[in-house]
Amino acid sequence: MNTIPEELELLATAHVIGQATPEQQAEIDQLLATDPVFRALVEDMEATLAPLNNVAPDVEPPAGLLNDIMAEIDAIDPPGATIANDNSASRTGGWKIATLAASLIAMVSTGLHLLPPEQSSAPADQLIALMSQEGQSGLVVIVYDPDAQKVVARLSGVSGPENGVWELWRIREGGAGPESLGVMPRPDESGRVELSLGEALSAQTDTLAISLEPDGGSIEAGPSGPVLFVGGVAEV
Amino acid sequence: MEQSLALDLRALKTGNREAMRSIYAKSGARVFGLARHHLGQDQLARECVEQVYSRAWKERETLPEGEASFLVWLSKTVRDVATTMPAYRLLAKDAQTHAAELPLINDIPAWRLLSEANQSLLYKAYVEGVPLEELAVQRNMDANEVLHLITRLITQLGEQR
Repeated sequence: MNTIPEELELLATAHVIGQATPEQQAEIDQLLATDPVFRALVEDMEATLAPLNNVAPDVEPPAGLLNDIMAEIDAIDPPGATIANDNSASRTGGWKIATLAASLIAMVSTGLHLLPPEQSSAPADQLIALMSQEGQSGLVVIVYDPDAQKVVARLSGVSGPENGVWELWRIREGGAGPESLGVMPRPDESGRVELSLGEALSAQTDTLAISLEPDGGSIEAGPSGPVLFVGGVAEV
Repeated sequence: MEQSLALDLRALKTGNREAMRSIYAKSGARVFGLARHHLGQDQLARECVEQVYSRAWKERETLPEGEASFLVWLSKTVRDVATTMPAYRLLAKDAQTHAAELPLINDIPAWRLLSEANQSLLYKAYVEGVPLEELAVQRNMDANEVLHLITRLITQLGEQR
């Protein structure tokens, strides 16, 4: 017979599915600490739903991620002694900077020269986004020039759309949703695309995305087609 | 001999960094796979995983001690982190297609007994982290009714365990 009050069951559900409000969570934390019946209910629900956690296949994490995590931990709680495989890049900006640096080094070393020549000594206020495609090795590198209010995109290992157009979107932390920055012109022979922006980009809050849309762009508030590339905006 | 995850967790509570490395070695592929599942993109998944293990470090003294409950904690934290990332709301549009390919959860015998609509509801709420308010609109219910329904579905599944 179920003798647990319905109100507690609902609280347990909200907790287990990770959707408790802050007020509910405070009550839940208190119950978890003091009420063994409630705690058992939560554990039972978690055990019931645990198989749903296995729907995603294991994927070997990228090399270097552990070092980034350990560096992040060192930044949170500096150790008494220096850790041998410290990664100082993460202290000053996390994986984005480390990935950016690694990718740029790789680009230079392979002679791809993705950055436009005029930006080879980029001013400090320029921003960059390395946009990758799920399961693909191609990259779109976007450099934002705030003075010229434009972005220059370089395609590497990927070509522009055969049908339809690419539309550039900005997702701002705390924003209502994706905002269109415009339909991207077709790339020239060298894989270069230039687009003027009416909106400024920020390295602190912005992520860029490119979706494939019908000619003229999405007629919806957000992307109507598949999202092809995503990447965070970072300082150069 | 490889140390168990439970022992790693106990060592982590004392601030042992090697324990964190060992926990990552045992759970990293699972966590990265989940993050990719939610975010559909390697770079964002990487950022998510970094935040998940940083949070594990910060909350090490209150982490669940059991192996199974810690894995649930990891899954829940991946979902929490992923759903608060700015790109998630955009990417979730693509993720909705996952719901159309609802997996057969063989470890839950009663899963097959749920209607497709209820499988989808539970999957979206628990795995995809779709907010109750959004699910309520999709189901033409209010959020409290959705929470009641999810509670009933979990109870139904639990009775078959």
